[in-house]
Amino acid sequence: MEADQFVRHFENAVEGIEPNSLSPDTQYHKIPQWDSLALLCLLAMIDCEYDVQVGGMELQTCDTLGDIYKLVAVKKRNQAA
Amino acid sequence: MIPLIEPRDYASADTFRAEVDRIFLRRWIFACAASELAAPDDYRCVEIGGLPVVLQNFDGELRAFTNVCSHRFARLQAGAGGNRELKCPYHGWIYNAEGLPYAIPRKPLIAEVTPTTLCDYRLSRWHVRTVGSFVFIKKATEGAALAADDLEQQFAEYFEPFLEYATACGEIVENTEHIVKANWKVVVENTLEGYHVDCVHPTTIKKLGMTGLVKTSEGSGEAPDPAAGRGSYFTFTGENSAVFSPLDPEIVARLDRAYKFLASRPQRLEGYRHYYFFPAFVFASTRGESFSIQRILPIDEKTTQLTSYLFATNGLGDLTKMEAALKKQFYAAAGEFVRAIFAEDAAICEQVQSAVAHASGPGVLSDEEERICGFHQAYRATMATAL
Repeated sequence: MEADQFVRHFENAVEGIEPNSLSPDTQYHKIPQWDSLALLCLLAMIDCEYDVQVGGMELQTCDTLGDIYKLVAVKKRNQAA
Repeated sequence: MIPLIEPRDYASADTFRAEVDRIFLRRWIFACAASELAAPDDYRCVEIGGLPVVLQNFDGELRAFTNVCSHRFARLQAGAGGNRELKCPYHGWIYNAEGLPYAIPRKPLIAEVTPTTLCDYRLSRWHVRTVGSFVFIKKATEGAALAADDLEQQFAEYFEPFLEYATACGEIVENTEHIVKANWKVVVENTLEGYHVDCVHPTTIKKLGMTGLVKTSEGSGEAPDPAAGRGSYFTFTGENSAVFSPLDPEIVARLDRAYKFLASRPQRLEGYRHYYFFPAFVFASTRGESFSIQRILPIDEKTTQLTSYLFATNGLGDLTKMEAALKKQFYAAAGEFVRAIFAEDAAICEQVQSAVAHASGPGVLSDEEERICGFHQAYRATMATAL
């Protein structure tokens, strides 16, 4: 699934996360590694892997990694339209 | 320590005029980044205590002049900068690199302007000096040669390290201008001490984990080391001062792991370094990852123009797509961080200005504010010097 692939990219981008330890239902802001550094790594990963720009403020509407993936997917669709 | 500047001097128009004459027109002043004047006809405008100055690229040669047409006194170049020849917008006089009007529309109708009198209409020239990524100007003294080596004297022992950092600066990440409703000395003093960090910057600077001042034997050569009880320390040279602050080692380790793309940067500083060059120039860097410049220029006795630049480091080599994306996010966040700090500092400076004229005594300075004391000494010595 594409959402699972997004989660794998996230695990890879943020330091200290075990591979395959998270899922789309993970509340990203509750994981121990989450801080301002992790935020920058997440935004960079989205930019790099999906060619989409997401601002830190936009993430406030997202609770889970799956929510972020949906946000990215919508932006990607809007970009293509 | 007792301050040497009287509270009334932060709000006096007479003091302000004396400061412009005795300090700002007699020192090198940071004007702009060299990259802003890279192309022929690029220009930048600076105003020093109300005196307009223009820097202009004449086919690769940088020149600075008082920005006033010799004919009917219009400002030759307007705004912060741009690209156009040095041409008066009023009647079209065009000036060359010598400051002479080489093209004057309908010149035969101005009998006074002849080849022999042309020099009378030469623009007032300023010294220009480029150091690494930075351009400095200084008002030329009448009759004196355009010697520029006294920039080294003004920067004293900090010139060499400054030169090293200046050549490590890469592209401009951010360039902002703030008008602060406070005397320029209030703004300078705010940059010179970390005592206010807990109150004014609790969610920004304080989060970096910088240590407070730990008094060490000055000049011992010992690097600051929080684990060994050695924290920030000050140094002084000439009219200038600096602070060196270590960062929390755990934060440093995390930064190194997260930002591997910065590993090849040419300046790998330990912690945070902040230099103040009297009277108007601040240069700071965190770990050599980015370089922050501030120019503090008085507009009048109660208003200051604070111009800031944030430079990325150069020398990062070829980056992967992910590294390039991380670099973009890193410097965007650094820019946001600097903007937040300036907003916090501007607000507190304006609060000081609103009250300083009503001070009931000279105030007092803590050991953490020793650099303010150094600033006051330089200020008093300069203001007491005969013109």
